Amino acid sequence: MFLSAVSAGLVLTGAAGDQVNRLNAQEQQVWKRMEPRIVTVLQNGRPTGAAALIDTSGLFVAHRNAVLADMVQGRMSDGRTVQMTVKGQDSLTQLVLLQVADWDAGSVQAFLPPMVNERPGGALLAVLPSGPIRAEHVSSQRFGVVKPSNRMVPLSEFRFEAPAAEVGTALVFCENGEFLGALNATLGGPQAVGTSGVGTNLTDPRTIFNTRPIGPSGLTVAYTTGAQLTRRVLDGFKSESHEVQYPSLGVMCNDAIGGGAQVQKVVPNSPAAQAGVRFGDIIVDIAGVVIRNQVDFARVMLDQEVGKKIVVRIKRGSQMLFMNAVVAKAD
Amino acid sequence: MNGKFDEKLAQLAYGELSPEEAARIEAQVAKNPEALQVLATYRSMKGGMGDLMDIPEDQLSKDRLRNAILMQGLKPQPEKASPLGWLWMPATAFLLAAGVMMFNPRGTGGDPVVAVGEKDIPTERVVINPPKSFNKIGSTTKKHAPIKNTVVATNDAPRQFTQDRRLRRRDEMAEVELVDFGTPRPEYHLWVNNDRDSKITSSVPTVEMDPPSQATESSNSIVIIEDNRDESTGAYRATEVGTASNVLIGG
Repeated sequence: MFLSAVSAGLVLTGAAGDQVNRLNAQEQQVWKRMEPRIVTVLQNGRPTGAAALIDTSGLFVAHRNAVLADMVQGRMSDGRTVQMTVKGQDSLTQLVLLQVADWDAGSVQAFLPPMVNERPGGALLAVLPSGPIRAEHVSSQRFGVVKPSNRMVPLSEFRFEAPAAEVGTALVFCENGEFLGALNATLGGPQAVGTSGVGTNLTDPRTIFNTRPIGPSGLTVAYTTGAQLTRRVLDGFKSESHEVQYPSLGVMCNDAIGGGAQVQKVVPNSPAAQAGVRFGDIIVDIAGVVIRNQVDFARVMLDQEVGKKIVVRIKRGSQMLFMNAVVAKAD
Repeated sequence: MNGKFDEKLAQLAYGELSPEEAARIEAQVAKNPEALQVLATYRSMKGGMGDLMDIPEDQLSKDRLRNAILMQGLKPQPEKASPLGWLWMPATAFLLAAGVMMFNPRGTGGDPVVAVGEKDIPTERVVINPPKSFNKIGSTTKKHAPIKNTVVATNDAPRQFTQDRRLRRRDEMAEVELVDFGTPRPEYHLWVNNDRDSKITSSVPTVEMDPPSQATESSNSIVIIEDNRDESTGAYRATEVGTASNVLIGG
């Protein structure tokens, strides 16, 4: 057991060293500053992912795919091992909050979420169980719907070269060392293939998924939640309750013909139901912000604070109604 | 903040206070963040009302607006009917009939063929033999002379042709003119052709068709993050969809 753990550690150290050597000088400098704040999560001595320090009290976040039990071991960059306990999790960002007991931060600073949302073309570092790799930021102007909650979230799209089997637990960092989020999903299906399709074997699902006919080798297209959402989640994790609160009115909408978000479902006893919102109503304004479609609706709702009173302007047939509602916490 | 002050804020937002009173209320508002927010909301409402095309200007006063919302909804005022208003109907009918005659100079002499293309385009002739199953549908099927169909030209399909649906009823072989466009066409034109003998479409003026445009109010393409994982990566599977219009969004 001991020998296997040691050998796994040696393999990991070697792999991480190889990957670090592939980074350019500037990226290696960034990684050197990041490394003391990164803990490798272990399961039976094998690395399953990375955890990033978000608070000097010993709070770390890791990808939920990397944390397979309520209590896991972690190995720091200097080789020491620590015990980590799950304190909370967030399904939208797929982040798990871990607490290291008796953590002594020393001069190590915690990671912060990015303050700038848009940086297309910028360099990123994706930290895999085997170490850091270079990634490229593509866009922050993406929106995604997370199943099964159907919650719409802002996404950052990025791409990188990596063995497919290792990317599922990655954490993503900006080139200046800010924490961007967990890798939420990878693009599957024919969309992941480059436009020319040259050199791709369309009968092989792995090829379809992983390969783009650009770059020195195949590129994986992946998404992490937007900076705004990451900030909200880290703030929630660092609060006393370690809980992330999402604002909600309790409705489900789609695009309305002619503009607005049309209510398709009202959750009983929700703020919307209490305010008198009905099926078929078209939301055209929330808290003074015009709603042109369901994306606007999701974006504006995400900006609200739980407990805040807002006015919702609704079009019902030929009538225009103003309704007062108190933003509630999403289930 | 009491209801009376709230009322004053509404009046301030809708410009119904005297300058002195407005200045006094604004001074009070400046010290009260909650009142500032309420005032901003009222002003935003008024601005939003102004953007609506169907609200008469005179309904933008606070009292009229309240009545409109609570009693009858926001409806445009009915327009006064002109005593000669009915005269437009026979005139329009006459113009419509004249227009139909102009576009159909040979009456009912032939089968109209709608085509998209351009004049004076080099053509090559191909022959299509329709499947047997198209030949006899019913006992009343008539035999038709061969009819030339012209072409569909699109930017992304440079070598296509159209088949009239009535080909299915024909017992005889149909001739189809196939047009080869060397370069993409930036515009789309429409002709109506009733002339069987003419090789090219009639000289009816073209009607330009706007290229399809996306509705500005629809959601753009979004990423659906599925509830199942990709076996090769362990990450959740994402797929792009062209529009989110039909996806229900919770919030």
